[in-house]
Amino acid sequence: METKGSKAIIDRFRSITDNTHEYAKSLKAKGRLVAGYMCTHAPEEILYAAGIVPLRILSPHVSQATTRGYIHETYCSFSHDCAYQGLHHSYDYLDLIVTSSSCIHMGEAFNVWVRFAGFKEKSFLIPYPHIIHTKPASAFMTESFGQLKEFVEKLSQKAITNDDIEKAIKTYNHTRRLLKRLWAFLRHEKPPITGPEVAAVTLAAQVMDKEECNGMLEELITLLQTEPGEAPPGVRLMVSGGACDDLVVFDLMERLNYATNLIFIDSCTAARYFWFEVPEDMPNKLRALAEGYISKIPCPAKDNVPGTGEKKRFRFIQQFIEEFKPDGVVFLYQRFCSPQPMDIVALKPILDRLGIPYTELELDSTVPISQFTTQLEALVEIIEGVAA
Amino acid sequence: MSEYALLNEKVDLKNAKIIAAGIDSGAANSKVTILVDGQPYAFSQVKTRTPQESAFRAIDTVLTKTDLRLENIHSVVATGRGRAQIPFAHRTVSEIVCAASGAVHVWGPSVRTVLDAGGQSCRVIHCTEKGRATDFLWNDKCAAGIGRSLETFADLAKKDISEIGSMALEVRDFHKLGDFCAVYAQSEALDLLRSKVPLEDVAAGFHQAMARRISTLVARSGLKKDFVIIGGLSKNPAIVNWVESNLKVASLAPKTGWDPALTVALGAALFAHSHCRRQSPEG
Repeated sequence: METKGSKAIIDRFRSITDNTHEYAKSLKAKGRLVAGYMCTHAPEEILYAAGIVPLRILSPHVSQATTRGYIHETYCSFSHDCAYQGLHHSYDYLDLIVTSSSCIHMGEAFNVWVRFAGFKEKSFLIPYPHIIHTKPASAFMTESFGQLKEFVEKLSQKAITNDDIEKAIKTYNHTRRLLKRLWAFLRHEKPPITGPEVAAVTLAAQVMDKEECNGMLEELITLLQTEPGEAPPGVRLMVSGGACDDLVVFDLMERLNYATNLIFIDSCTAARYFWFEVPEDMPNKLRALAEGYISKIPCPAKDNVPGTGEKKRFRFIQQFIEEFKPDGVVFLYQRFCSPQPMDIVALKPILDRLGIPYTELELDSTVPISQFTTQLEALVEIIEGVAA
Repeated sequence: MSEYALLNEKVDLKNAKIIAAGIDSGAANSKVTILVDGQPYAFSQVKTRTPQESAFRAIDTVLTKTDLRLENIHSVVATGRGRAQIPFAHRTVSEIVCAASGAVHVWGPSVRTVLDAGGQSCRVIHCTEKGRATDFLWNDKCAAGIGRSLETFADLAKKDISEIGSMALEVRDFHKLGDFCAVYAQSEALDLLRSKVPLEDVAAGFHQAMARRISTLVARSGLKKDFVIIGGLSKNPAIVNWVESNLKVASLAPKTGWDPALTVALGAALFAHSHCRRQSPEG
């Protein structure tokens, strides 16, 4: 059955996330260069300024053993899955892969591509400071981004001008603002779009040409402004955690035995991807990018305010809680990820003080529907104070 | 005694106003508890094959001991892993809230932490004096410390699951085994057995390792007294002994005549009973 209105556009976004390779190959057919990136700390704007479409490498959610000879068994399944994509040659059409020195698990997945998947000459590891909230970090990152720019210029045989970068910054900032507007619908009591749909659109944005993405986002937002919300208000669930590109988990959160609304996702595959902006019209474009990426909500692997033990990300989480008013929080993280569960230890007392119940879901290649359903339904029962 | 049905003859069925049943469709066993006006009346436990088949067998097994038929039961609440697949259930509730409710009903309002050590998962639940769950922690993605790991060890030792716990408590000095992974722990156990280490010794090492894993989960969740252990593993004396010793806390003693593995089914029955009470005109 043909869908209409906002649903038709959402379906188009979802189709792109489900068929990333077809989408990317269609760009290649139009003569575009396509680069894969493995971490959201990579400044996509530099690639885009060179006319390259950055596309996030995502996992196939297929439990397999191939990568265990290449990456340690106790590295997360997301990194194993991404490494597998290289060994399986699923992304052979890419002209380049980049990542930043952030998560060590993803760093190993990147190494597998470089060493065993034929990407040695077309890969770039962006040096990132270990702690990004320090004074020297900006200069360090400016220099790193300069090295990336030189590498991309050589590869694309095109000089990247300041105007090119400024244009890319503005295009990307526009995407970020549009995504923020889309997520703002979830603050409504009866949003015209669901949390899982917003998650799907946000994931699609990470693999799309941003100009095309912006057009579709504008169209979607215009339609949503005129559409009434359908879903009945239920228990408001917020997700906080690490990379999760498996939309099945988010769908599950709204298919419980109780009425629930997924209203926010704090993860690098959702809000942390876009919840920042790069300063516009600064004379030094690379410096502007460095400042923008320093200002983003950091991955727990990079998040430490020196000398204080403070985590910058926690301030954002508290801000999201104030704005989106969740009734409960779901900590969602990849099994064997260390930084995320360590953050959870510190986040739990904050939620306890706010009186917000929570549960933890540990992700693997596949989603254990029955177990996750029980945990989520138990969380809802606790929120609702269900008692015999 | 893995499959059984029991009746509380003291309960008067003739003048019953509310007959409520809870069914706990667990990974290893399916359990039924029937309440008559809130009083525990009948119980059964059968091995789980499929949730639906085992639920019917569990309820049929218990009903044949009584004058009741399924249609005489006013409300059935299903819980446990297979709860969504029980066709005769009127409602479903998660095993987390049922465990809290059942444990407080059996052990009293002082209970604050419930360790539900089951066949395929291990959960720590905090609750109020009224049996309302306030938070919970689930075992992480590993079989170490759950019932299934003990079952496979029993298979390895060619012993019945009910024997290995007592056997493990017979020795004081034994080899320590790793607790990171159930498969690795079993592989270590197999090495020891091949090296002619006595079975009791290996069983003790294995139980202590699994108990360490469970204790870590309880400690992570934050132990609040009183503490009670329910689920199938609560009947394994070695696990209970080492969990208590690791946590430096005594759990509340088992109640005479009460099978702790039925506690979650009892919680479900309590939900069924209150649902009926709320529906009744006197409600």
